[in-house]
Amino acid sequence: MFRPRIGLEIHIRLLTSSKVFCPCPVRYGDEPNSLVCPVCLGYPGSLPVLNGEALRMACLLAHALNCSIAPDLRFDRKHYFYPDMPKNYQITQVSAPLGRDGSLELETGGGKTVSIRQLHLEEDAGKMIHRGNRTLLDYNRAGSPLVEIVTAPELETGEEAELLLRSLRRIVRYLGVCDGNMEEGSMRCDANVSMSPRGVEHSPGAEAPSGDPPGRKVEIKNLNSSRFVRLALDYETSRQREILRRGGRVAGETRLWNEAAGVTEAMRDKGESSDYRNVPETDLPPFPLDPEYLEGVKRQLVELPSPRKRRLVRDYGLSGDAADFLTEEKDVADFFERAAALGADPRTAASWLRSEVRRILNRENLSLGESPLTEKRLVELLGLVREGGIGGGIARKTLEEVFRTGRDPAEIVRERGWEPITRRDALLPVVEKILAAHPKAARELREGKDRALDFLTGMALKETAGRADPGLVKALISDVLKEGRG
Amino acid sequence: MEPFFVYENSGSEPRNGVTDAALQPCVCVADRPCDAGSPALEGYRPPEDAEVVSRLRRAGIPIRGAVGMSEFGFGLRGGSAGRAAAAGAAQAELMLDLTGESRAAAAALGLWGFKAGYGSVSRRGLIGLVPSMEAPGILARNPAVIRKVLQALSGPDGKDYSQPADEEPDFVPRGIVPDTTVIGVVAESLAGLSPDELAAFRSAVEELRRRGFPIRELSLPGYELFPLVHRIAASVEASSSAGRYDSVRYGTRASAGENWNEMFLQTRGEVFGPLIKSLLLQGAYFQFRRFESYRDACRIRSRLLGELRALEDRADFLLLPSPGQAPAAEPDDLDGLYRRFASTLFANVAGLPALYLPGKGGTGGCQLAAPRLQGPRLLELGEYLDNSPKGD
Repeated sequence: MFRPRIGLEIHIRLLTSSKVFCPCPVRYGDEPNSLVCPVCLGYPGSLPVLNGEALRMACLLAHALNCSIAPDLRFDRKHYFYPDMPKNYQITQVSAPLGRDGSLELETGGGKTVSIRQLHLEEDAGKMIHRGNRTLLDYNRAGSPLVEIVTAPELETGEEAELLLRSLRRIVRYLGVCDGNMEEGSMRCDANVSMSPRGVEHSPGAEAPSGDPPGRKVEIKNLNSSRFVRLALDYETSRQREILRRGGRVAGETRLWNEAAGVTEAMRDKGESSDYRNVPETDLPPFPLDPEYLEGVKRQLVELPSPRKRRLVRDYGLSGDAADFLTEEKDVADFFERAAALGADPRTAASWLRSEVRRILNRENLSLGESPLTEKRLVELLGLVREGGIGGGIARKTLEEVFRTGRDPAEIVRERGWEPITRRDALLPVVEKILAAHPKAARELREGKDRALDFLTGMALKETAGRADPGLVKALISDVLKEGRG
Repeated sequence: MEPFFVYENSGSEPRNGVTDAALQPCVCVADRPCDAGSPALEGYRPPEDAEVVSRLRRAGIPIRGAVGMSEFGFGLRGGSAGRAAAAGAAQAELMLDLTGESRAAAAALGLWGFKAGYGSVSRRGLIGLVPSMEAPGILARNPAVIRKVLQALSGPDGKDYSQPADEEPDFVPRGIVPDTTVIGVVAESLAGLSPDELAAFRSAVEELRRRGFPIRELSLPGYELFPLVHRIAASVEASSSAGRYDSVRYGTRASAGENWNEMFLQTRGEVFGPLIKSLLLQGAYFQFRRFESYRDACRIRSRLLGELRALEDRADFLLLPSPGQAPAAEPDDLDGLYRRFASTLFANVAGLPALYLPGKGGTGGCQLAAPRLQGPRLLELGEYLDNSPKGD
């Protein structure tokens, strides 16, 4: 009877080297108040100077999310008194955002596309630390660049919201504008939830239904992982649905996700409405965005995860799952495509990347880019398997050695003496030894039980530490048995 | 004699003939006291030089820190603006002009007073309240000194976005030819003048006419809205800009208070004087209770700027009434302040350079204004009028 309308407000911490309005470095974990200057401390007479890198990243993201970009760059001041905000206003772009009317395609979930209402650049606040009855302040984070993205309330479930965050996470990582880490606060998410009666459609951008709305908009904060977003929104939609089902009314309020209890809880009412009455930031008068500049930024756009995934399936014959895995991180997809261009069989390469390579990277806590495995080495390794006849076990051991020593697979195989044994005279003694050691299996094989052949072959491989050519071993076993020597 | 300066620096050999410049304590000099006349900034010493200070140093002009100023340079109450220059203790004096303070101080002391056009001089390191309206003011005994100081200060520093990035100021003298230099008089600017003020203005007009300048009467129907726009927009900007004076990182902190919220309230209650308090409260009122009025004020402002630009085709300079003699006491209430600066705030709202010319032989003096980046040209006219003998 009621349909949830969920919108997200997502803050993206940009990966610039310096702050958005001053040259202080953006770094975390330094001595408190060591990365500060008159501008980010709001000293009298200081003036903000826009960081070109932050602007570039924000424009790039706006392009990637199909936003239309404002002709003039404008900033305004959002006022609230709080000690972590050095000027007691935040420089933002709420009233005249950089980007408007964009869209974001969810990577799964039936290809749903969600409208982006606005995207804007703003500055982060410092941190307040409460110690007993004292309040300490660290302004290292104050003035770090953020992009805020506001979606239309077009999501209906916690799962869709989680998908949106995951899709956005991939995009910002592809563009290199944010590391997308929600747990560390690089991506922060607030949500708003309301219920509309089914069958009543609202034009995009409309607020709660006119007249007597059964459900007011509820804001949910403290959602610091995409999983919490899903859990909190599922909880909140069922809470609101239940209130409405019983004929009650949903109060417009701000609620916090309580992770331990798995519920949302009403926040203590602050009394004041959230009306910040932004005024223009007159320290940063509007200036026109040069269309040529914007075109230049647009040319820096890379192929985004969704279209790339579709192309990998189409061009390389990969499964959807394999393509999904490869496109999760841009450097993995890039690696894959370079390996394929160097002659690797795409499906085999994809499968190695997804299984053995991923396992070692996870164990060593490395990214592909930092690891000694180059696409050339992977192609060489796959070539040794396909043409050189090395077995899967040796190939896996070789891969481990590549990671351990940073040397080429062929060199490792040669030095360790792991080349396959393909000469009859070298394998014959091994086969004779195995048949002698397992007379029961030999007898069974003579009686026509083929399973015994596999067992004996396996034993021969084990004896040679995987180096024996399995085909040759099988042929030799048959020969020896025929000659009646086994 | 009372001391004029709290600090002095010898500087190198002045290269452009200006011997020294006094700085009102809203101009940041690294490690020198700079409280902008407010208890909110008592004992504050900036970590860096203002851009104008760097430029004075580069020009070899010694700087001297003037004693005391009105709170945040809003109005002239309790200040010392222009006194060092008037006494000859410094050749020039640098301050901030929010409502017309540099021209009014000059008028009170018989000096020349100049407010730079919006964006022509970097505001970085100048402690003010109204970014869109305030500009550096320069006072001196003659316009030639002002022109040299302005030349040392002008030009984009790349870190003040109010400055046009690609326009270098043009100080090449073009010469003043009275016959072809049209002086405009805005009829509406004379409304509300006292008979004495009107007579003084008429004599200024007559003198210009005698010297051969064509005088053109112009109409700017929205002129009476300038004070209203200033009152609303400037108070909102001031209330926003003064938010940083919360005693957390610098300045005076109230000792009482159970938590940071009380600390903010107590401190801000204690550190601002009555005039600034009224200004900030008025700004907060317009921002949070009458936001539409603020939006209207901004819209009217852009309309007025458009109307003014249209007048630029009809006159090279505008002649405006003098801010008048100093009252017995400088006002400490908003109504009184806006009456005091009725004839000067026009240039602050519009961002125009404006020059106060003292009258000669006891006459009243007047103001001239020029298009936004024509400050050097305005001072060239000032010098012409200063040098050419009266009534030749």
